[in-house]
This record gives sequence, structure tokens and C-alpha cells, in this order.
Amino acid sequence: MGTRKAQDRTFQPGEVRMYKPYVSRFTFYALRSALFGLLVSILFSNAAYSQNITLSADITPKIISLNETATLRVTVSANQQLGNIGPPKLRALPDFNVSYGGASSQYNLTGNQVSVSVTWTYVLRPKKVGQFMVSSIQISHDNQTYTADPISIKVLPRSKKPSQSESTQDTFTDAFSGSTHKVRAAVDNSRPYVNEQIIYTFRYLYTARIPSFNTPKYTRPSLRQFWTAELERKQGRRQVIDGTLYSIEEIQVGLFPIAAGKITIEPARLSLPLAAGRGRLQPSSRVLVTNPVEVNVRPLPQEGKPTNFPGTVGQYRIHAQTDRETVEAGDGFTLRVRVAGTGNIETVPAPTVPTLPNMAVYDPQITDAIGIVDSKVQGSRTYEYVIIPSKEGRWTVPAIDYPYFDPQAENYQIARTVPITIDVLSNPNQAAGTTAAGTTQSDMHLLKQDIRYIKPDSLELSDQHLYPYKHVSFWVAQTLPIAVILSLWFYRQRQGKRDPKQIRGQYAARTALGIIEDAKKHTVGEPAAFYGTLANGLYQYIGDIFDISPGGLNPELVRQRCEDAGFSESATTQIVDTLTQYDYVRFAPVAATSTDVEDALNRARASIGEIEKERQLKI
Amino acid sequence: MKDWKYGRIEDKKRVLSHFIFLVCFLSFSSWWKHAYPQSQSTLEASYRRADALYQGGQYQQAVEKYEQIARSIHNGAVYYNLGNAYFRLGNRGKAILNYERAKRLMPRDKDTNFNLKVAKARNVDSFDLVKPLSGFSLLYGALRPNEIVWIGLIPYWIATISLIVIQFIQNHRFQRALRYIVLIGGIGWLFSLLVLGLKIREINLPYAIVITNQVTVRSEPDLGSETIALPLHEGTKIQLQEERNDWVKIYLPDENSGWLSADTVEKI
Repeated sequence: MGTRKAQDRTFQPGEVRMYKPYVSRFTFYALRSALFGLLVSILFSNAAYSQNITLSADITPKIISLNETATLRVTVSANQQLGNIGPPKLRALPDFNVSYGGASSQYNLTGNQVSVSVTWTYVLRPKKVGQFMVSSIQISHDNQTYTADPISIKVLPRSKKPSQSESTQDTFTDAFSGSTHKVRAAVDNSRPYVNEQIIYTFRYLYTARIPSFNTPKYTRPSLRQFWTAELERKQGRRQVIDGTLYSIEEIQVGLFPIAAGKITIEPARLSLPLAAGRGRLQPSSRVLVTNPVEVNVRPLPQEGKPTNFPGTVGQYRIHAQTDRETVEAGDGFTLRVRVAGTGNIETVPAPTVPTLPNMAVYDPQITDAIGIVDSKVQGSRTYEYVIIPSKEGRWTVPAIDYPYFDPQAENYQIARTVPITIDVLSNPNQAAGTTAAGTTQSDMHLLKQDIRYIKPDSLELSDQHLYPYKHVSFWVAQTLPIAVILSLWFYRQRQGKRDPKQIRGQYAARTALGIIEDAKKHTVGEPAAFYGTLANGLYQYIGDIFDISPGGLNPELVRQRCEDAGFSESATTQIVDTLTQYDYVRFAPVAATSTDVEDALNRARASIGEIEKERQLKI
Repeated sequence: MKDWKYGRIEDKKRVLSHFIFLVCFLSFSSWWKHAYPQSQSTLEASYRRADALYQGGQYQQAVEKYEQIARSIHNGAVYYNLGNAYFRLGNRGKAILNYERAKRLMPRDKDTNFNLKVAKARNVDSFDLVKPLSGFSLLYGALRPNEIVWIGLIPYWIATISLIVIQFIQNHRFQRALRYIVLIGGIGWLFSLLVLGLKIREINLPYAIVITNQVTVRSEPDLGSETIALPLHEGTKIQLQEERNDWVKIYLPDENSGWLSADTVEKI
């Protein structure tokens, strides 16, 4: 009800209709009354006051596009207590949607003087494009009316990229708290050399904190063209800029440009959380975007560049020492080379250790000690080389050069170690043939390796025997074929015993040789009978082995049979030739000498022998 | 009379067939028992337990578990894992010992060979005191005895089949070709048996690994005797010549030998 009454009193026809939530107004009045009461009690005796009330109005920004909003701030300042002062009267603003953003009051005490200011904030949302005047902002107090100067606002057409136009802002004024927030990005040196450190600084400036439980969220730009090192954050610094006191928070990153050329560091972002409150139903956030930063990276100069310069940039010192002065041959000692200075320590190349005669130098172990002093990365890197001399004598580890480019002096410089002498004594152990120093580079490589992981438990856990002959399966596999062959042989033997055909073949040679022996009975005087018996013996033999009658056989038939059976050419020819010869002598008998008889007998036996061989092979 | 005789023959056959069956059954069951001595699932459960202990970094318990499994069966993976566990405990000698055992069962296993190398690289002695094997050993070095048997069985069985085929075919030329196959197969088989013999001989060579930090080599099996060589260190592979009570005689270079206390070494 109170609200309705207040509205009835405030709004006249043609006035701007303002949306004033009851609770907000109530809070405002309650707060103001309490503060006034306090002030009144403090300033009770102070009678010296004069009527000095000013009314001012301001719109920020003064140029907006159609989809943006502007903030209208109406401020009443006075050096006296204002008592019950109503909100200002605004002339109708038909070209804008106006929403009330809240009010704030400020009391300053300077000596005995008190100044009071009350600010009402309105958010203007344009309805159309054009130049508009916001005038006749009036406020009444103690029957006096104060009028603010008119303000102009220009509304531009809707920007083409609404989301971007919103997100490219680096300044934001929070209507609720009246605080201003700015973000800025900069580098300390926009023309560095390659691998020279620069400092990228992101600054967040604000007049007051956003009343929210969440802290602003910083999003770093992509810094892919740099090797980066995190530096410290700076907080709590305050500075007056253009007459306004800002709190400043800084985030710094050390950057080492990787390559020469023009690099644009993309804008960094800061997301400001906005709590729900006056004019905002939902908590939301506002993203502020910094300016992009350009860095022009210069290449290292060619002039005076040492040969095999590894690209080290900064200011360095180098120091070398050994852990002992005398060592036995085959025993190792440690050469410790320490590079220290300002620069990108983690990426500095290892110093080149000169080749040492009769010494095996192994890959170094590296330890770093890196810190940040005055936002500059500095520290040291230590290389520990294990060196094993193989021969006794006095040897020198020569000076190790470490060239670098000093970006401040803008020239190349060389750091250098002092040569170290080491006495290698003869090793009594070496004489006996042990070769501790014989550890090869590949062994050394293995020293750094870890063992491989255990075998999985998924595999089948079988017994892998080493002695196969202890197992029955071995003997079965070895003897089974022999058993099969033997049983087959026995089977055939038995088959043979029962089969007359088999028996005939089996005894063929024996029968034939018996007949041939019989031929001896016919003496030299009966050549026809003698050769006839021999021929009969051979025909009987052929008949027996092929299980045919020997009666109708002749040499040609014998040849055919033998060839069909696959007997060799020589065996076939021999028996056929012998038979042909016998037939010839049989039917044209000539007197035979005893040598001829022996010869003929042998030929018959030999022919049978050849065929028998063939038959054996066949079986 | 004849019928009675006939009956006797039939009885004999039956007895013989029963006897053959019995022999086959007994030999098979004994083989089965030998192949799977303990309940398979019990062993695998133990193995998984040991692996879990290893994964949890409890290497001492893992070692005990793996040792227990290794007493039941010979398996390369078990020895390999046991070696790893010993290695993690810093017991390099035992690690090398078990890698060597694993290597005998899995000669071509890359992990075993790699870990053996890694472990040996940490040895104080950069040598092994073993007699070099003949170049012939290269032939069977990467093979397990079982694999040699299998490789030998292939020509053997081919020869057997050829021999049977010869009996049943009439073509004389084909028979002659098969006869060559029988000959080559038979030679291949005999060669495989020879290689197997050599392999078994190599496996039976009494190699050992030094398992204590440092060992003194003496001229006689007596603590009072002379020290004749440099001390040997953990992980060194040695070859035994003789074992006598608490002493072992080892091979030293140039046909020399020396004596070590038996509890300082363990046979592979």
C-alpha cells in the first residue's frame, strides 16, 4: 500500500514511469534515516550550515548502439543534511525504456563540514536510432526545485556483431555499486630479442569490489609463441588515475619468444561475476577484454656470432669442478659443470664437454635450481658427468666455453671454465683382467633403463618341462611310427604266408636258382639241353614273380612285363638279353667250352639278382 | 582238439589286448599327473595373488608367493616375475638367477632378455666366468627342448607316412621318389635327436649365479687357503666343475679353477 501511495505522489501524468521495487525503496529509506540520525547526533552543535544543493546528471556512455544500454546517473550533492528527499522527476523519455537501477548515498566529513550526495541510477535502453536530449531532470526539496543540465545521447544503429561489441569492452561500470572496472594488458619490452625475457602484465583496476561471493575469473591469452614462466601476482596496490582512486591487481607472466617476428598477444579476459540484486533477477557475469599487445621479436644479430652458437640468451656464468683430484684407472669421477645466470635456464643447451683422451664420458645428470628475482627468471643448471679414465697419467679437462648473447649489452659473450688437472693412478685390479672401465656406452645406456613390467596373470600357467624324454608323450611320438611300420610289415608277412600268389613270388628266386643248378648236370656235350634248362629257369622265375604260366613266355613278353612293373632299364635289358642269347644258342648249338658254361651260369644268376634287387626296392 | 587250441589262441589275444590297454592307461595317467601336478586353478589363484602383491609394491611377499609357485611348476613367466620382484628388492643376484631360469624356458622372450641385460648392466663384474659354447649352440640357443622335438617329429612323421604309402602304390617311379623322402626325413629326425641331446647337455651344464655381494675365490675348499683371483660380485654367472660338501669348484679363465663357498652361489 505504501508503494502505491508513494507512486501516486511521485508520478505525474507525462512523467517517466519508474519501476521501484518496494523492498529496495524501503531499504534505501531505512538506511538513509539511520545514517541521518547518526549524522544529526554528531553535528548537533554545528549550526553553521548554508543551503547549497546541486543537482547533476550524467549519462555514460554518451554514444551507444541500439542493442546497448546507457546509464543515467542523477546526483544530488549538498553540504547539509537533506532530510526526506524524494527521487528526481524525469521528463518522459518516450525513446527509451527506463528501468530504475537503485540509489546510493555518500557522506563525507571534512573537518566540521559534511557533504552529502545521493545518486539515483537508471538504465536506459534505446528504442530507436537518433540524437536525443535528456532534460528537465528536477528535484524538489524544501519547496525549492532544482534542475539538472540537459544531456545528449546518441543512439547508433544496431552493431553488426552484437556479441563481440559487448565482449570487446575493457571497461565496465556496475550500475548497482556504481564502481568502475577496467582491464589493461602490456609488455615491458615490445622489441625483445629471440629468447630474451619480457614481462606480460595483466592489470585489473577497480574503484570498488563487485558485491558478489565469487571472485573475478581471469583467462590468460594464448601464449603459444612463447616459452612461459609464471611470475608472482601483485595485489592491493592503489593508484589515482584521472582523479579516481583505483585498486590494482596485477598478473605477470615471463615470456621468452621462441622465434623472431611480429607477434600479437591476443586479449586477456576477465569475467566479473554479478550477483542478483537490483535490476538483475539472475546472477550473471560480465566479460572484460583487454587490448591486444603487439611484440616485435628481433632475431639475434649475425655480427660477432660465435660458430656453433647454440642460441643461449641471457647473462651466464659457468663453473666446473671435479669431485676428486686423483683417481684410479677404471674408477669413475664426477665432473660437475654449473651454468648460472639470468635467462631461460630450463632451455639452455648443455655445455659442450671436449672429448677427453682415454676417458669415457657418460651422459650427464641434470639438476635445476630456478627462481624469480624482480620478475626475472634466473637460477642455475648443474650437469654431472661420470667420467671413467682407462689409462693412468696426468690428464687435463680443458676449459669449457659457454657462449651466450647478452640482450642488455646487445653483444655475444663467452663464459669459460678453468682447466682442471686430474691424476689417474694405475689400478691393481685392472691387471687381473677385470674390466670395470670396459663398461660400454650401451651398458651405461642400460643402467638408466628400468626393467620391464611383470607378465600378466591372464596367461595360462602350464608346466614348461625342460626334459622332454621324461614324458610318455615324447616316447609315444617317437615310437608310434616305428610301431606302425613294424605292424604293417608283420601284417604283410602273415598275408604272404596265406596267399599262394605271394608264396610263389616269395620263393621265385629260390626255385629258379635250383633249376639253374640242375643245368650243371648237362655237361659240355649237351649245349642245347644246358641252355634250355637255364632259359626254363629264368622263364619259371618271371612266371613266378608275375604269377603267370611260364609256358607261353618269350623275351619280348618278359620285357613288357618288366617295364610294366617299373623295373629299371638295366635290369630289364639284362634278363631279356640273356634270354635272347640262350634261345639263340639253344636252337643253333655250338660246342661250348667250360668257361662258356660258367659264364652262362653267372649271367643267369646275375639277371635274377638284378630283378630281385628291383623287387626288394619295390617292397 | 583243434577247437580247443583255437580257443586258447583267442584267450591269449584277449589277455594281450587287456594288457596293452592297461599299459596305455597307466602311462597316460602318469603323464597327465606329471603335466598338471597341482590343481590348476589353485596355482593360477596364487599367481594372481602374487601379481597383485607385486603391483601393490609388496615385493617381499610377492617373492615368497612366486617362489611357492615355482616349487610346483616350471614356468618362464613365474621365474620372470620372480626376477622382477627380486630386482625391485635390490637383490640383483637372485633377479639374474631367475631371469636365467626364465630364459631357459622362454629363450626368445624379449622382456626376459631385456630385463636380464638391464640387471646385468648393474653388475660389478662386467664378465661371466663360463666356458664359451661351440658355434653349434647358436643353432639351438633360441629353441626349447620341446620345440626341437617337435621340429624333429615333422620329418620323422613325413618319412613314416611315405613308407606306408610306398606299400600301397604300384608306380615304381613314385615309389623311388618317396624312398628319397624317407631317407631325408630319417636323417632329419636323427639330426633333431642329436641337437636335442646337445641342448639337454647344455641345460645340464652346472651354471650358477653369485648371490652374495662379494665372494672370495680360493685355491682349495678351505677357508685358510690362498686367495687366487679377484673377488667375484653379485650377479656374476659362473660354471661349476665340482660340488663338495660346502664348497663348489668353479671354472676360471685359462683352464684354471677355484673354490667358492657353496652358499654364496645358486645353481640356475
